[in-house]
Formats: sequence, structure tokens, C-alpha cells
Amino acid sequence: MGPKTKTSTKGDRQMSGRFMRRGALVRLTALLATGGLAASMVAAASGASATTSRAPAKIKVAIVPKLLGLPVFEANVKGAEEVAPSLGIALKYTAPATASAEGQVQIFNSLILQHYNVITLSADDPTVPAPVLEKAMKAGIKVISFDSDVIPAARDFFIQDTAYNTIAQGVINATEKFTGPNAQIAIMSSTPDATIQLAWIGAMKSYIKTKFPHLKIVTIGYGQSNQATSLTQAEDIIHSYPSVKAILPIDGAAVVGTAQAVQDLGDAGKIGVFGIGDPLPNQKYFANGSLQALFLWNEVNQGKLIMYVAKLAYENKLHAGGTFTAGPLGTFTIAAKANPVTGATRNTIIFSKPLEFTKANYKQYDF
Amino acid sequence: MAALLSAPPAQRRSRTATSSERRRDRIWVMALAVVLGVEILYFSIAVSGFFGGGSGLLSLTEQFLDVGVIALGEAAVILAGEIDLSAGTMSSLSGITMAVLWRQGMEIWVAVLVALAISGAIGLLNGLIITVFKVDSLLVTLASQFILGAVATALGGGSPPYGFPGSFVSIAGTGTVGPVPDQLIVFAVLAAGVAIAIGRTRMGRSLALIGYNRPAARWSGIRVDRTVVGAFVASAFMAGISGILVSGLYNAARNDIGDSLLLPAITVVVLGGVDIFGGRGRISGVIIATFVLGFLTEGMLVAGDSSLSATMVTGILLIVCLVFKIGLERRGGSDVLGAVRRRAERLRHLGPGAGAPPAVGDELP
Repeated sequence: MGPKTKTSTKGDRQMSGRFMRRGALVRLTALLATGGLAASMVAAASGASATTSRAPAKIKVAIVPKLLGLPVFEANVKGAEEVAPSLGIALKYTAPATASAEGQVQIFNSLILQHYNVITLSADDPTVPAPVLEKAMKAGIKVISFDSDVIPAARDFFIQDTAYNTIAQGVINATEKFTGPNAQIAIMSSTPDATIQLAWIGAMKSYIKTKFPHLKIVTIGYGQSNQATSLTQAEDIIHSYPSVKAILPIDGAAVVGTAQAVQDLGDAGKIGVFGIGDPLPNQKYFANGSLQALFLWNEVNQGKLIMYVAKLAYENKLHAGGTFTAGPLGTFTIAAKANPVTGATRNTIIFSKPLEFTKANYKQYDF
Repeated sequence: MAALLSAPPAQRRSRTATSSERRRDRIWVMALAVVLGVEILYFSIAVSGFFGGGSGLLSLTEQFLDVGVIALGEAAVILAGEIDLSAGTMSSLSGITMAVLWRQGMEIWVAVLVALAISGAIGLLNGLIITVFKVDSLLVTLASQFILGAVATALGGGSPPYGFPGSFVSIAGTGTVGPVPDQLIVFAVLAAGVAIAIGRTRMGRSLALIGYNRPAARWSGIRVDRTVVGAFVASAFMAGISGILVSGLYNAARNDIGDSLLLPAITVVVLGGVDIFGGRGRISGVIIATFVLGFLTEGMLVAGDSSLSATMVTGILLIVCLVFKIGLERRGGSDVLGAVRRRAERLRHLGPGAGAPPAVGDELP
């Protein structure tokens, strides 16, 4: 480790000896690097042969959510995998490891080269994947978006989770039943610029205006999609507005935070909590009465619908303005034009009326 | 250890890369070229849809050349023994700036020029802060990364512009000349330019000498600060170009479109044989590494592997390379620790080391 001072001739001799050994090492490195690469290639090849050995008659469908591993999308995929075999679909589930629009573009590009018949996706960004999806459509591939849409020109059909107005009506009707028509209520949202929450709030306000003009929204709290922040915000609302009879959390973290606040302050049953979210993370609040009702769509069934739409789109059986039947899921309509009330755009299929989860039925659902 | 640290650096290592070091660099580049050949051959045979009559292979390059463009600029900075962590967000900001100016009614090619000029100016600012205030480039560019990202988000707002004029999308994005994508042509021109600037000009050789032994470079009359600032301008400028190319390719700007390009670009530079502590490396290696890494990812995706396994193989490849390279790089009796120590020394701005000023550049590639 000490400083090395050498006479030049001795140093050069030592150096050249060391470098000769290193020359051999370099060659070894090159060999090993190539070997490692070859090994990974073999792995890639075995993956490829597994894909190509599938029966050729099957419809090749890919489902590409925003990212791998998010519970809502895993529930979609679970439903899709349940029905795919019976529909003659060879299903591939693939997505970027992080929610990256560029990662999705790479995947779409590879799916085009693999000659997939149908690409279904939940877009990380509405515009970035548009050129590659248009390329896919030009190559004869059907493109179906679900949950989060791309610009309408870049897909054939969009499966919207639920209509803005129906989920808003569900929440408000249940609230009004609890509070009566003359009451003060509050909303707990995620962030002030969250697109879908803004749409829901707008739909709730316009429904209240026409149906229950004496319900008054006194404030909107923002929990930043964080349970701890939601909890503090909800407690602040309860302290600042003592006459509030119900709080409406419309974001997953806000539901937990609000129900916890109501429970902590001993207001269970006195202040109603009606929200939009999954029942599974909120079981204890249903059980102890600090949460009255939640609304959401059935994500597993939504995954099934994606597969029905994929098959029918592949067979060219879907048309704007028409209807179709998706096995036991029932009959659906394809919107011909944009509808600001439901949130639908061109060629949109609204998946479902929201499900209502209450103390009576929350145990039946595992999402 | 204290005695060791205070010893004049010139005594512990030669002043420029030795001929055997340069030979090893050449061997590394050749090995990369062989790997690239094997890789393309393999995927073309084993994966249907990869080769696509040659044009398929060429069009795949569109998916990763944005990384290559950033890597070209980043290589200049790393060669000088510095690092530019702001290149990714710089790319985002450039794309957004161009798009927003265009939405405000500016002619799109004028907007491109303005965006590139702003990129260069930000590089200048980075370089000046680093050289004038003597702050480590790692810290300065880490900070500017956040600033640029925040500005890009503020500029782009909730719905960043998309749907650019067809002529722009064709030239900067998805257009082709025959079967050759425009992006590949742009990359070839940039790569040739950078390779010549670094390999064949006095400034390029100075850059490598600065990275190899900064006190010696100073003593030999190289204007170290000016050259380092030049490297940061080049890096930001290339990142700016990459932001324009990505926006053209996607026909959309996005607040964070370039953020994810930084780490792959640094990977390409290191895989290409540029010493992460500076002083050694060849641009030809960086160019080949762009294709080695790019085709590996695309080949695996087209073969139907998940992006997870593609990312994983990239990581493994990088570690394997680094382990072997570092094993080889025990130059002049030092080692990895020695390299870290040299960096620490440089930061402490030791006084002039012993030894006469070396002849400039005559031994560098």
C-alpha cells in the first residue's frame, strides 16, 4: 500500500510481467463475459420457445397494466386468467417494474414484433404510448385500454371502471339515508389535482344540487394519499366542524385515515363514513362500526370483462353505439360519443355499477 | 495512512495512461464488438421478429439510442473524472421547453434551437459552479437534477404538449431514410463528432489527462477548469438533444421523460470501458456498448421475457464487467481503494506534486 518508487528499468520489467499476465486475464474476461451473455441468451431462448410452442389457433392477448405488483391490477389479472382458457385466449401478463410510460412503450413495441393479436393496457401516460399503439393498430392489432385511458385515437376501445355519476350517486344516496336531507357533510380526497377524485367530487356536487339541495359540503380535506396525513386531516375536520354528520373519503388512504379518526375520537356511529375504496384493508372499521359503507367496482370481474372484450374485438364484433354480451357478466353498451356526465369518451365501455360494501357483506370480498 | 495520503501523487502513478493500459482498452473494445456480433447473430436466429429482414433490427435501435446520446456526453464528463447526474432531468427539461415554446406559438425548429441553447447554458452553469466554487460535481449535479426536474414539471403542468407537426415527428422521431431510422443517423453523426473531439483533438486528450492525473494536467499547462466546464456543457447539450429525440419519437413531451435514461447511460459508459474515476476509455467502446445493452434488452423483450428479467440481466452484466475490469485495473501498483483515494486527494486540492510537467497528450489515444 505504500508509495512505490522504482528505478525505471526494474519498474518496466515488473510492469511488463504483470501486464503479460493481465493480457491473459483480459482474454479470460472476454471469454467469461461472452459466456455469461450466452447463458442469459439460452435462458431467453427457452422463454421464447415456451411462448411459441402454444397452440397457434389461440388468440394472443397481452395485458399490460401500469406496473407489476399493484394489488388492483393483480386482481384484474386474476380475473383475466380465470376466463382466458375458456375463451381460447393465450394470455400474457407483462408490465414495467416501475410505472414508466417509456417502459410500456418498449413492451408494446416488442408485442408488435411478437405478432400479438390484442394488446390491453392501463396507460401510465395518455400521450407517450400513442405513436407505438397507433403503429400496433396499423399492424392489425386490436388495442384496448382499461382503468387509465390513452388518447382515443390510439386505441380501439376503453373499459372505464365505473361511471362518475353512478358512483357519486351511490355514495350520496347512502349518506343521505344516514344523515337525513338537512345535514352538513365533508369530503376527504387525495390531492387537489387528482383527476379522478376531482371528477367524482364534481359529480357528487351536481347530484346534491339536483336531488338533496339541503345537504351541505362544508369542507374538503386532502390526505395526500397518505394514511397518517389523512388521519390528521380527518381529525381536524371533526374538531373544526362539530356539526358535520358524515365524512366521505374518496381515496384508499383517506378511507383508512377517516375511519381511524372517527374511531379514535369515539364518534363511531355518530359521524357516518361513506367512501370509495377496497373492503379488505378496512375490515376492522366495518366490524367496529366506524365505517358504514364503501363503493367500488369488482376488480376481478373487470379482468374477466377485459378478456371478453379482447376476444370480441379480435373477431370484429364490437361497434360504436352497439351492445354485446360478456358471458355471465351481462350485457354492455359501447358509447358512441363522449359523455361528460359518465366520463365516457368515444368507444368507451363502462364496466359496472359500483358495488356497495357494508357491514353485512364485506367479508365476502378479498380485494 | 496519513503519510500515504499526503505523498505527492505523481510518485505513485505515471502521469498518463501507459501503452499497456491503452492496449487493454483496445482489447476491451474489441471484446465488446465480438459480444455485440454474437448477440445480434444469436437473437436474429433464435428470436423470430428480432431481425425482421434487417429493417426490423434497425428500427429496434429507436428504442435505446436516446440512452446512447446521453452516454456520449456523460462519457466526456466521466473521462475528466467528474460525473453529471443532471443529464436525465436535463433531457426532460429540454423536451418540455421545446414543446411548451411550440405550444406558445413558436416555430418548432426555432423552439428546438432555444431548448438546446438553454441546455448548453445550464451545462455551463453546472461547470462553473463546480470549478469556481470547487464543489464536487456529484453534489452539484445531484442538486441541479432536482432543480431541473422541478422546473420541467412546473413548465409541463398537468397536460404536457403532444401532437407535434408531422415534419418534426418525422425528422426527429419516427422517420426513416430507406430502412435506416433518422434517430440512428443522428446518433451516428453525434457519435462520430464526439469520438473525433475526444480521440483526435487536443481538448479531448486534455480531458483524459485531467481525469488521469489532475495536478499533472495543471502543471503541463492545460487549462483544467475551462476544459472541465466544456465537458459539462457537452454533457448538458447532448442530454438536450436526447430530450428532443425522445419527444419526437413519442410525439409527446413529458415532465419526466428523460429521468429514467440517466442510469442506463452511466451503465453504457462504464460498460464501454470508461474508467468511472476518469482518465481512461474510448468513445468507440461507449458507442458499441450502447448497442450491446440496447439489443440485449430489446432482444429479451421480443423473445417474450419480462422487462424484469431484462433489467436483471443488465444488472448482472454490469457487475460481471465491473468485477473483471476492476480486477484488471490495478494500474501502477494501486487498486480500487487507490482510485477512491486519488479522488479524495483531488478533492482536497493538494499542492503541486513532484515531477516535471509531462509532454502533453502524446501518449493518449
